Amino acid sequence: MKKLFIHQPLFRLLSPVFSGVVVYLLILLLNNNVAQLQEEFLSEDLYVCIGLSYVVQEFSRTLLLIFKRFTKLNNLLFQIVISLGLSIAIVSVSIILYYKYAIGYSANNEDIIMFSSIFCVITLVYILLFISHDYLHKINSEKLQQEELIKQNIEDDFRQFKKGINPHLLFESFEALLILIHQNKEKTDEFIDHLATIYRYILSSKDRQLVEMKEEYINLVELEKLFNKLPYRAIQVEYTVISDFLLVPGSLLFIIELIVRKTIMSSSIQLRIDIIESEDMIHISYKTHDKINSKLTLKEFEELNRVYSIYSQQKISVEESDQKRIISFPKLTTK
Amino acid sequence: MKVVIIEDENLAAEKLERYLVKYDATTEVVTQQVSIEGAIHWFQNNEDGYDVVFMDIQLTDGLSFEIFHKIKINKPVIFTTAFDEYAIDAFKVNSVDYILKPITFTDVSNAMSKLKSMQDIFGFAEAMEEVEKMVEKKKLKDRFLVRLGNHIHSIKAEDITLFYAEGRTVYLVTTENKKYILDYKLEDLCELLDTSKFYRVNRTFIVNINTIQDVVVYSSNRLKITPKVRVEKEIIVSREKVSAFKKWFEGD
Repeated sequence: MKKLFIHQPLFRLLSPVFSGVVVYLLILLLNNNVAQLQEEFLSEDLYVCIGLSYVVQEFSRTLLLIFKRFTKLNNLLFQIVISLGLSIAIVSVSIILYYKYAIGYSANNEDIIMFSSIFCVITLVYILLFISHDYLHKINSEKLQQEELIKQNIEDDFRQFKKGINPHLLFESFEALLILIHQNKEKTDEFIDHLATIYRYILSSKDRQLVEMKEEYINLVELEKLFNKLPYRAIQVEYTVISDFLLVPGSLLFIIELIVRKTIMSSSIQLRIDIIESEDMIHISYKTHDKINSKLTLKEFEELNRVYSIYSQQKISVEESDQKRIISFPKLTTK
Repeated sequence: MKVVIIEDENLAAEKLERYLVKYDATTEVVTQQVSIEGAIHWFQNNEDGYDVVFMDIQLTDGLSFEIFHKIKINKPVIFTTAFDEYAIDAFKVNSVDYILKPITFTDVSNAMSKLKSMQDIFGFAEAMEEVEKMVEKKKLKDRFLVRLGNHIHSIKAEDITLFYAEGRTVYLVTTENKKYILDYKLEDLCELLDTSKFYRVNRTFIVNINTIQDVVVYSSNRLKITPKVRVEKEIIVSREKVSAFKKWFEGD
């Protein structure tokens, strides 16, 4: 369905043959001369009809493409009238020339009218075929687009759902919990409290556009505590931000978790993450010790960048220097 | 201190009891009720056998506020709730304490400390009624944050003519015909907006009732909406929504 069939080379080659034969038969019928078929079917007249069909169809096709290109001319009635008029002109001129030079006498008006009428019908059928198929093509394309949009929305929903649920963190925490529950009931309660607080924040903030940094930080502390209770994790977040500003909910948590997931961790070596501020940006810096098969790249911030682009012209940036990586994102303020 | 726990989740009740005992070893949980019916029955037979009630709002057989409709509780009530922060405002303004689930020890100890210092203001029937009303009333979004240059502006919902989706992007159009991108889906907006003012007329548009200039009958029993601002696409009320749209457009 990518291309209308009237534009297919095979159709363009074969359909004039078919319509030419039909025109020829009609002319014989109108002239009450069907008996000629028994004498000689492949006469010169047949070839003329096929040739004329070819010219008329190709001309109509070109005209339709021109109409399609110029939207101002894209009026159905106008298209039909112009196409028919020009077809009549072409057919009439062709017949006059054929009669004069091939047969040797002038064409009479009856013959010209007869040929013009039949080719008018051929042109009309051709235009209607084109328009109906074009319309069908448009409807199908719209349906396909809608399907594609629905598919994209479902994928998007799934991604958002996954982002909200964060299965990686959830299952990792559950696994740690299964061990902890047999060892220390008190610590288990604390662990569940951290986990639940983080999830409550993530889920309750999904309908909010922006949150205050202070609120995000409170939940970051919970995340830090949770990570430090997970096996092979030791992180320390140094937070020195004092100004008030807004940010996309969960963005700081997302970046810290991303750093933790992309860094080779050990419970004996603490990962220190510094969160500092400049005039209009927040900077998160840490010593790089990337995992071998999963390095942190700017691509990871695509979705976050998309959301930030709604509120700021500044983008999230990742800079690396001297075994240190600095991730910066804009401070958002309302006017 | 004698405590009544009304909670339908056993694990949550156990946890609360554990924290209460941790806070004050002399605390005694006199009963744990799991339903409204059970709680009413217990309070009717034990008018003075307790000092404080910890009450979950959503129980399996309904909202726990129903208990206050049937009997009078003159002791402090601390609600435990999984409601989001909007509902919590209700508790703040009415000086009734609450603990947001999941319960942490800090929350419990703070609530108990507050209880000791503010006992006289707990348990007022009027306050309870107010809380009930506010909890049942859904918080609606009345402002939207949008970017203008490098600044973020807040636009009132009443100043919005319509929302529309183009592919996966959702736009907000103001009454001054300014267009902004939003990070919401139309489905989410339907949940957040005041449904008496905004209506989703088809898959693409949510319109504001106050900014509709004209509605005309369109082909195939559909309706065409003309808003007060100029919109490139036609706003057609889909056939299956025509009846509901008319009801909404008619108002109460």
